[in-house]
This record gives sequence, C-alpha cells and structure tokens, in this order.
Amino acid sequence: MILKEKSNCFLHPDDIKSFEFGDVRENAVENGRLIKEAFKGSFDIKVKKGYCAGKCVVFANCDGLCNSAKIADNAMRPLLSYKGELPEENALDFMCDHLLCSTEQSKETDLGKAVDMLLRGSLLIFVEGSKNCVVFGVQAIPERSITEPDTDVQEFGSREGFTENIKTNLTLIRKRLCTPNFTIEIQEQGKESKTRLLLCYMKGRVDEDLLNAVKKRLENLDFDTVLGAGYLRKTLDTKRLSFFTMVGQTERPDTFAAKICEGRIGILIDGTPFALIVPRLFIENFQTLDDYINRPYYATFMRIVRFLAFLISVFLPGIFVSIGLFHQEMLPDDMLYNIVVMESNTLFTLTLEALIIHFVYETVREAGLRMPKSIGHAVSIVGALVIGDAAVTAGLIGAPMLIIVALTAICSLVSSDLYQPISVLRIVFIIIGGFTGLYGIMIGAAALLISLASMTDYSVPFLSPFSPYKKYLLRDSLVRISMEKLGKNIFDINTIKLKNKK
Amino acid sequence: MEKTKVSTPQFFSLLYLSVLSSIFMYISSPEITISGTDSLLRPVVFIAVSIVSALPLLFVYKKLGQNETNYKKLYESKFGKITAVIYSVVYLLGIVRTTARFDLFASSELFPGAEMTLFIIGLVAVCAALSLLGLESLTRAGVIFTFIVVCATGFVMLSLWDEISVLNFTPLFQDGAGRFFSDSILFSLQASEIGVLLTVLPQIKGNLKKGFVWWAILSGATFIAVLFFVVGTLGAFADTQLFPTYTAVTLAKFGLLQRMDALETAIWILCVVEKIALYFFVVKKNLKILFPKVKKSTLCLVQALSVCAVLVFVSGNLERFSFISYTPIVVGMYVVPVILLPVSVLFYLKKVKKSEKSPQQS
Repeated sequence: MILKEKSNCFLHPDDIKSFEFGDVRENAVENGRLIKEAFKGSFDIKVKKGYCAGKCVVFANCDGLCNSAKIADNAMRPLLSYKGELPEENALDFMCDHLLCSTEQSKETDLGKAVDMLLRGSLLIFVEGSKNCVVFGVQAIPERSITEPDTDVQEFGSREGFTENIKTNLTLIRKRLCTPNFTIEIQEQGKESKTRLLLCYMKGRVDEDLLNAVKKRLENLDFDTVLGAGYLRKTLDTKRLSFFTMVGQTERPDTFAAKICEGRIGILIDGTPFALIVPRLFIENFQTLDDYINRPYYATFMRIVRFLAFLISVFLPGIFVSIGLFHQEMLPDDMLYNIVVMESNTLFTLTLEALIIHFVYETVREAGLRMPKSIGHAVSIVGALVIGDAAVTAGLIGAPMLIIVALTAICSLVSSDLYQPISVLRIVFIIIGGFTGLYGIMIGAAALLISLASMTDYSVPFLSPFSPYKKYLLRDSLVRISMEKLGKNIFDINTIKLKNKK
Repeated sequence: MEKTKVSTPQFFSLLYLSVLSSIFMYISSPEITISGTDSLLRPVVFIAVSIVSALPLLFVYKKLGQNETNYKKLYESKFGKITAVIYSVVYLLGIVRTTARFDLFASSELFPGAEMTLFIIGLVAVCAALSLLGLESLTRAGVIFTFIVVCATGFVMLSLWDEISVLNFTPLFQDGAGRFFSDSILFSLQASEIGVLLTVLPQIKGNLKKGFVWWAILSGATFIAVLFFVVGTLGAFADTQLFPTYTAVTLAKFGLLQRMDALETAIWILCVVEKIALYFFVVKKNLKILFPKVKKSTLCLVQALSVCAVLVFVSGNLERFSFISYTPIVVGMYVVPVILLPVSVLFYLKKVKKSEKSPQQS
C-alpha cells in the first residue's frame, strides 16, 4: 500500500507512460519530429534533415552509440551527394540497393521498433513518401577490450574472457564452435531496460524438454530492468531457498562452449560479462578446464584437493570448536596440552572466538573487494598484523584458532563459485558445534546432504553421478581418466536426466 | 522437486542404514546376551527370519505390482484407512523408540549426566523437516551415507584388530540350541523397518525381490562383522555394558587419533537421522491417506509435536524407556506391520476379487 501512495520524492509507476509511436509516417520530417518529442531534452538523440536527389531524407541516431565516421561515409555522403534520379516508387529500396553501403541494414515499418534499434546504436533513415524506414547498422558501443577474466582464472586455458558487449561475446563463442548446429535465439527481457539475451545451445545435443523449460521460465520473467545475470538466476533456479544453485555462471567463452557441447543451455546477457549455464551439477564446482589439459592423475589429484578444501572450509572450524569443547579425548595428550595452554590465555570461549575471527575475516575481505585499489595494501597490513598477530599477543584470540581460520579462508577460495554457501555454512556449523559437539555437526551435515540430494532441476539431479549413481559418468567426476578413454563425447547432460516422471 | 521413482538399490541402502542404527545402538539385556560366539550365528537366523516374514509383503507386491492406481484403490477403501491408522501408530511408536534409545545412548555414553532432551527435540525437528523433502531425497542421500558409514565402520573395526582376544570366542551353543534360537529370533525382530515397504511400494522401481534378498544378506554380513569385533574385543564383558558396540569402539585408536568413539558415533548419527526421517515420511504418507486435504507440512508438524511430547515424558526415565522396549511391544512392532497387515491386505484383495467376479457371474 505504501508503495502505491504517490510521493513527491519518487516517480509513481502510473506516471510513467510509454510513448506510442505507431507506424512509420510517409512524412519523413514528421517521423523526425516524433522522435525528438519522445526524447525531449536528450541531447544525445540527433535528428538531421537532408535531400537526396530532391527527396527529403531524415537521419536519426543516438550519439555515442554510433560510429560517426561510418554514418558520414556509408550513409550521409552517398545519399546527400547523389545527383542522379530516384524512381518515383520504391525510392527507399533503390537507396538500399544502390547507395547505402553496409552489410547490416533492414527495413522497419513500426516506428516503435525502429526507435528501439536507434537506442541500440543503429541509424534510422526516413525517406519522404515511404512507409518504411531503413535501420542502418553503424553501432560503436563503447566497450572494454577482451581481457583475462578475474573470477575464473585458468592456468593453461585461453586468456580471453567475456566483455559487456553481447556481440563480442557471441563472436568469442562462434570462434570456438564453427558448426551450423550451434543455435542462437534472441530474447528481450525487462520492460524498461529491454536487455537482449541470447539463448545458446547445440542443436541435436540439447534436450527439447530442457530447452522448453528454460524458455518457459524466461517467459515468466517479470522485471522492469535486467541489469545482470543475477536477475535471471532467481527465475532459472527452482530451489530458491537452498544454499546452492543449479544455475552455473562463467566469464570464459571456452568453458561456455564446452558446456554447450555437453547438451546444456547457455544464456548470454547484454551488459554483463557473466554468462549463465543450465543445468549445473554439484561436482562441477570442483572441475576446471585445466583438468582436461593436465595429465589425468594430476587432474584427479587436484579435483580431490578441491573437494577436500571445500569440506575443510565448511566443517573444520566447527569440528575444531566441538573437539575443543566436547571431545578433547580425541586428540593426543601433547597436542591437547599445547592447545589448552594457548587457549587458556584468551578472553573468549572457542565458539565466540571462532565467530569473531570469521566476522573480522569476512569484513576485511569485503573491504578489500569494495575499497579503492590504491589503499588495498593498508587493509592487508591492518588485517594481517593488527588483527592477526597483535590480537594473539594481546590474548584476545588463540593462535590455534587463528591457524584454523587462516586455513579455512584459503580453502574457501579454492572453489570460488561455492564461496557464498561456504561462508554462511561455516558460521552455522561453528554455532552448531559450539552447542552440540560433533553429533550436532553430523545432524547438520546429514540435513545438508539430504537437502542437496533433494535438488533436481530440469529433471537433472544435483548430486549426479554419485546419487543417483551412474557408473559410466564417474570416469569424469572426482576422477578423470585419459582423454582417449573418455571417448568422443566427454560428457552428456542428457544421460543423467531422470526419465521416469510420474 | 520433480517426483520420480526410487531405484531398488537406493531404497534398500536406506533400509540398510536403518538396520545398522539398530546394531550400533544395540542394548544388551538379560533376554538377549551378546557375549558368546553364538551371537555370530544370529545374523544367519536374521536373514532367514527376514526373508520368511517378508513373504506376505512380497505377495502383496506380486498382486499389486508397482502400479500406483492399484495402491490408490486400496488406500481409498475403508480397509486401507484402517491399515493407515495402524501403520501410523506403529511407526510413530517406532520414531519414539528410536529417539528414546538415542536419548539414552547420548545421556549415558556420549555426555553422561547431561540433559539431552533439547538435543533430541532438535533431532526430531530436523528429521521431520527432512522427511518433507521426500523419499527420493532420503534414498539418494542414503546411498552416500551408506558409503561413508561402511567405510568409517570398517576402518574403526579394523583398528580394533589388535584388541581381539581368541579367548573371548566361547564354544558354540553353550546355553543350548533353544536359547540360541529364541535369542536369534528376538534379535531379528529388531528390524521392523521392512514393514515400511507396503507404504512405499508404489514409489520403488526395479527388482524388489532381488533387492530385498541382497539387503537381508548384506545386513546379516554386516551384523556378523560388527558382532565379531564386539565379541572378540569385549568377551563376557559385553553383557555388562548397556551399549556393547559403543564400548568396543571406545577401544579403537589409530595413529594421531587417541579415541575414535566420538568420530564413529558421529557417523552413526547419519543412520539415526535417515531412520527417523524415513519413519516420519511413512507416517506422513499414511496420515495423508486419512486426511487428504491437510497440508504435508502440517501433518509433519503434528507428528513432530506428538513425538516430542512423548519424548519429554520418556527422556531421562529408564523405567518408561524400558516400557517401550518391552519384548511384547518389540515383537508387536515387527509382527503387525511386517506380517499381520500384509496378510490382511492379501485377504482383502482376495475378497475384492471375489466380489468383482460374483456380479459378473450372476
């Protein structure tokens, strides 16, 4: 109710009225006037009138999104300097076929749609007496150059990462998948932002049910603006309350292409370098593209290391707290003695100590992420020396706990995609371990595993191939056998799809 | 979650965990001793009793198959509703018994003297919530739990190897063959979880008979292995211990780890969670037959509250606990769901078939 009340500070949704353009008018000047009126006050919308062989021609474009030199060389100069004669009928077609020079040009009768294209960097050309306008591709949208992604680093893989430009991203994938089976479907999402999405899949490999399910979910999307991958994630994920997600995210075109070849669906979103992939399995959090370049024994070893790092980062602080408080008998006497001596000088209980240090760690991490890079070193020094060393010396926290937190922090960064669930679950298990010991932790772990097992999206179980057990697929799970033995198709998501729906 | 059927190995891994929880928290009593070598042969009787007593269930399966509509017809009848009431009562009692036993285990062995009621109520709440995730989730997790539990138990048991004394293995049938058989049958009747089959049959796919026989054999083999180490390490001392399996585990040590009982007990909890969650699921399914319009979450809440109410009454009181572990009650909890109800279902199906035939003939 509060939202619906009109306020002086905010624009009420009812006040936003969309401008009705209708069809392209035969009067070229009128079209230009309508566009000017719709964007009243927007200095970047340029409308220019000229004459081509005596016929009035109006050009409209959005400054900053277009290449001015291309407009001048390929559109304005050929038209305005044309001295010949124009046919009485189909003057616009004549211009398109004989005068304008571009591979990207189309005709549009709907002025609203033409204006949408104008906002995407196209030049609109209206010709007197024609009910069509030419949409002329002269886009030069400012973009970042292709760089190595920060969030998805590979040792031996490609150094290319997605950018914010959807066309560049598509080119990066096309470069890797030179096959007509690679299919792209374009969609627009967001009533106001009209963000373009590209639904990418491999014809013949993608499951029709999966494709339809993804399309249906995207159709149900109801946002005014779609400014990032996160907006779509909510819709593509069924189990929204879970710590984990079955929607993958990548900044790497090589990973994206590989997943599409496995029968999955990729979604490129204009304006973000993060592409989405559905469905994603739990085991994929421990797999990287480097694994397929490294020797099988090393790839297997690293996958196991990553999985153990995940377990350590979630459970170690909780287990340490529970052993320290409830199950001291598990440790050898010497070790127990050392821990007791060091912890006896501290002010807080083990549980509180663990929670405080984790809170401090997460704060330092968040500060490191958000603050200007120029003062990053200062935060590192404060974090490492003041909070770490000085807190132990002052007797605020024990050295063993600091070691545990440091180890946990490092381990949690091994699988960057799992950082969010790890950081919250770790706190949960510290609290459970502090109150109920190892037994409580095991009940929590059982609940977590059963909840993971309950995750099934697009008929694909999250814990596959472990449960439901698929022996054939285990060869590329935590273990990776040689590429020769993996065969022609490395992995196919359709093989783990549940077929016995009720 | 999209509903699909669970495979036979998945389902029986869940039942296997459930049976393991019984052996891990096995309470020695004057009726069933555990110290003699005889106990190593009990699992053989267990296998035989399980297979024979499950015959009515397997006949029901043969009659109704895995077709859900057949079961729907059965559940919708008055007879089906009476069966659902009995099942609900039996398995609610099963939940109470399992949690009360765990409560006794926790307060006497894990944290002696500590008040565990809140912990147990927490366990009940978690299991009730997990049962809402469905049988498929429980069975999928059950496969992974089985792997963890078997590996951990195998490791702990093998680390007990040095503690085994040959002198602890007494000659067979010292107390007579009669005592052996009565002990063995009572021992076998602990595994009342087979009864859940009638409720979950339509949700299982695959060869049920084969799965069942494998489950009985593997459970029996695990019993033999666990009892071998318990008898070998503790001997006659086992009979003086409330939880002999736990006492044997306390002797295990390996390298850096001085005592592994906490670790092993923590692993056992996985079995307990699965067993209680399975029972909650079964009771919920039966209550849904009786109250089809009530939400599943409401039914689970009611179950959890009623179990907690009884547990508060039983918790910390050995006399009340021994009442629910009284031999006739244990026997009843096995015989009713595993034998009596399936037999009565068979008679009911026969009657229905007859009545369907007679109007046609007339």
